[in-house]
Amino acid sequence: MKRVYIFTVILSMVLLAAACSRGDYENAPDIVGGHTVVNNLPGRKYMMSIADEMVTAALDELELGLSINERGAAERSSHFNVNGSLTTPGSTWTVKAEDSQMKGLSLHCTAADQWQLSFDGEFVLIYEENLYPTVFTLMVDKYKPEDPESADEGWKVSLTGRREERGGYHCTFDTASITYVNTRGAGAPGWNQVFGDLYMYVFKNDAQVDACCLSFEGSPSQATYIRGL
Amino acid sequence: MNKIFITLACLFCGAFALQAQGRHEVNAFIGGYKSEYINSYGGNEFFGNMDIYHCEDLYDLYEPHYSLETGPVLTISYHYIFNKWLRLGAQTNLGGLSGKCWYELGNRPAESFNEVMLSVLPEAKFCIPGARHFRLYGKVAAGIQMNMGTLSSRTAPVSFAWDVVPLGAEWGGQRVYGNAEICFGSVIRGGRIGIGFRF
Repeated sequence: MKRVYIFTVILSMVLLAAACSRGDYENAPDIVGGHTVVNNLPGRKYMMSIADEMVTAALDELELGLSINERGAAERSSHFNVNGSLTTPGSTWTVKAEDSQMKGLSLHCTAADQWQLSFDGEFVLIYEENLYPTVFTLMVDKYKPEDPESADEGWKVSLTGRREERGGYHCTFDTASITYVNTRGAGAPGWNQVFGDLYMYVFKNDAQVDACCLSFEGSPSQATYIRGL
Repeated sequence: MNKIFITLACLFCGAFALQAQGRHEVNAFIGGYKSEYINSYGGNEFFGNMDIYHCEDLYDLYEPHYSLETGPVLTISYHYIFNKWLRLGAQTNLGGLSGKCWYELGNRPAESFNEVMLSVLPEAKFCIPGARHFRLYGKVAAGIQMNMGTLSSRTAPVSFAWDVVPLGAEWGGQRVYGNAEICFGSVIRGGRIGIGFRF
């Protein structure tokens, strides 16, 4: 009997010590009562993903369409619903490939070297969890460098769009013009120069809570992010 | 003064234990806890705050984030022993937490806060008769919780509270015994240990 009591007391003390240990469920920045830290990186990352993932995903589809435009009908129709030549004003191609996150994107040739890209669907930004309804329209002109000898090629785009997210949030984005330039033979695929300003307005329950700008002055990875316009 | 009160309390409990009639029991517990009501501040799903940095959407960018530290919860319960299977009574819980609130974006200063939760829950305890010095049981309880503090005063000053003990154990003597139980619910999630008096 005495052993039972001793065992009970020891077990209770061990369990009591474990129960009283405080749990820290999340590591917060230790800035209470001290200097505040201006942290704009997440906002910049969000807007970069619009410019770098969403816009370029649409441009990739346009480039793919143009590259296979002159090939056989079978190859074109494996990825697009085709209506005429993609370089003929008035023609419209639609992305039908199941494996494309731009499925449903419409490529409409409005004039020579000019297209309107329209998307209305769900698009992932940053993480796979962020699959939200997104509507946007890109007006795309073929970039023509001032120097005719230049090896640069690319696109000049203007963007308007809207994205609905959880918690009553939505954002609209637009830009007068962003130019994506790729120097032929520059190495890795992608844009090596980007110019222009992307604006984003954030709303919660239809009330504006923020206005931001991402300004590109050349390097695609070193844009300037400004909040609270 | 405090020593006098503690001495009187011990004498009171001891007197109850010595005058044991065997139809009533009082338990005092201490438990580690993570409350469901913590998560309601973040507006995220269960344990949602843990995933904040993996899902940077507008909600995560513009809504406040919370870091919470919880302390132990003190539980006092009373049961009337109907028979060897069933006991009915109530539990009251007192717990607290401290935390910080901050924003992912911008330069808004973080705020610190403290909260106190007090809950009262009628409960039923179901026992499995076993050996003389060891018994298993389960409990269910439901009631209300009062949340006092900076945040709760503007979010949920009173909330529904529930507590389930799928497995608990008592061991020791017939009058004084030890308890340990696994529990989950809105009041406490984790485990409790304590001491009981039967009288």
